[in-house]
Amino acid sequence: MTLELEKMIEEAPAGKPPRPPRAPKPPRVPKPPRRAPRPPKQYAPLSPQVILVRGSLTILAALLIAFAANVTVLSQVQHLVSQQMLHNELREQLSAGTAPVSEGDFDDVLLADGAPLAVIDIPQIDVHEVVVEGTSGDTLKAGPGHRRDSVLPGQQGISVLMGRAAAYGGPFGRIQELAPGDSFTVRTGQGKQVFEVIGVRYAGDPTPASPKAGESRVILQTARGPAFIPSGIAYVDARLRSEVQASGQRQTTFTALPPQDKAMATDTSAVWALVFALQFLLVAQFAAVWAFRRLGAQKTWVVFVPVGVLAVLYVNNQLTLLLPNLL
Amino acid sequence: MISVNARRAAAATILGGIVVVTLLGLGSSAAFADDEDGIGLSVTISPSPTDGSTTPGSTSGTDTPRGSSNPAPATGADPVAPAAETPAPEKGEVDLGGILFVSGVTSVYDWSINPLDGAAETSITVRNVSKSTFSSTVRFWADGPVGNRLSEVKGVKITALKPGESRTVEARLGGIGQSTFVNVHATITPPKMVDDVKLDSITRDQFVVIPPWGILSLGALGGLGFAAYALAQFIRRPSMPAGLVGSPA
Repeated sequence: MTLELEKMIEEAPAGKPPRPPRAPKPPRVPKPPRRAPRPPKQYAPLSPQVILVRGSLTILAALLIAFAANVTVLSQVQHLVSQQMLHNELREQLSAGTAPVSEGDFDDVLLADGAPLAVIDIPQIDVHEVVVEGTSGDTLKAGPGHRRDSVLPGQQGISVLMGRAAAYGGPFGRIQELAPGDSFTVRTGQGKQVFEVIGVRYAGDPTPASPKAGESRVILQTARGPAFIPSGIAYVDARLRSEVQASGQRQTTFTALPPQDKAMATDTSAVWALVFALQFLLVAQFAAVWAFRRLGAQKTWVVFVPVGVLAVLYVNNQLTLLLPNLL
Repeated sequence: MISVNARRAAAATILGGIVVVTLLGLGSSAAFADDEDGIGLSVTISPSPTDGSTTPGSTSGTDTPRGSSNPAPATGADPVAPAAETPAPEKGEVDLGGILFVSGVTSVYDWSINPLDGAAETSITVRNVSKSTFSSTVRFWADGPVGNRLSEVKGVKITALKPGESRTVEARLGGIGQSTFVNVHATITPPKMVDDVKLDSITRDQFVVIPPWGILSLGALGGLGFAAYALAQFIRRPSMPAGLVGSPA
């Protein structure tokens, strides 16, 4: 080694000392693992009964989650879509002068549930909604509803408008914030009606005296209590400040009002549809299992995810009708 | 390839940045926090714009921003609302057939830097539609999610409410803390008889959801701590030199 170094020094040009060659680093020895890796767990094979119970509970859990998501999130989107379509329809009718002013349409045909009637504007609580005919749970998904046995807003007498407090946009969720003296408007086929709030009351409180001849009032109704957990009904009474309009004919009376159209009512008239929806969901599940075994996972996912989502949405929409209509 | 020292320096810079941003956030939050005087309760009586005007029967002033025309907030346990000047109801104001109409309760959460404090600014509007001038008292209180009493303000007086007059009464319910689900109530107690009509007290409620920012902040801090720990573990992990390949023994 010394001889080699001396030889390199002699061979090197003067003034530049040669670099000694680097010794290669010894390779690092990887650390041994701290503990031995766990052997994979061996589970006992499940019996057919356990598989069935597990599958059923999974579907139930998925349905419950989808139900909560439908009521809290998807319902808001559905409401927005409905309002846009109703706005389009009512704008067209107002411009053509064919907006309804009674319980019948321009051709004297009884208005169907969900037909657009008016636009209510309450700027204090950011409400701008199309009011539809009817107050059942299904109808109030689209927007505030007009109770069929009452006159239209602005006409002589008392008009009743109901709206949901939380689900499907919750258009009337904040009406309790209105104070006596606040004003709002309702635009109907008879023009713009201006109302002044009398006060807020709960079920059981004394009601204002009946309006005199030539007077018009509107009562806004919604659920009160925590959102999605209604504990009662809140009413906002308002009286007309603008000119009273002539009343249109009403075919429905209070006694003839369908029970599902009353405040906080549930709609059990379409339970048969829920049964069919559940059957559709079951058939879709069985078909998905069959396809999974016969055709493989990839094709099953592509085909049955949309079908399953559709079935779950259908079931949830029918379940929502069993909730109070002012929720 | 990035050396271990360089990665440690980068990680230290990131962590330092997070700490600085967090401290700045806290500082700015503290700057926006209300004046904390340590008193849990305070009451503000704010007459609506109709109070001081010469037309008490005109539209109530609740459509104006809350507090915009209010006097300086009064604190104390026995405040009195100022009376209106001209008891001249407008035509049609007092023929509704009732005596006293009220609004619902409105509550706005006023947060505090102290997670156990925070207040609900609560208000209610009353309107006299009788033909007499009378006074009333209002009691405000707030309950927690299990019905526990969080705060209460009693005996807020509404003096000399004239026919056709509307008045808004506000109270500050302190000690809301991190209760999250709060029920706010207001009970108005009018005289027992007005215009020969027997009156009862009227209660209005509101359910308020208050974000538990203290608990959420603790959770966020825990998440940040875990992220920092995971980052530190990642940096300390020994790096394999380039070209080193294991060989069978």
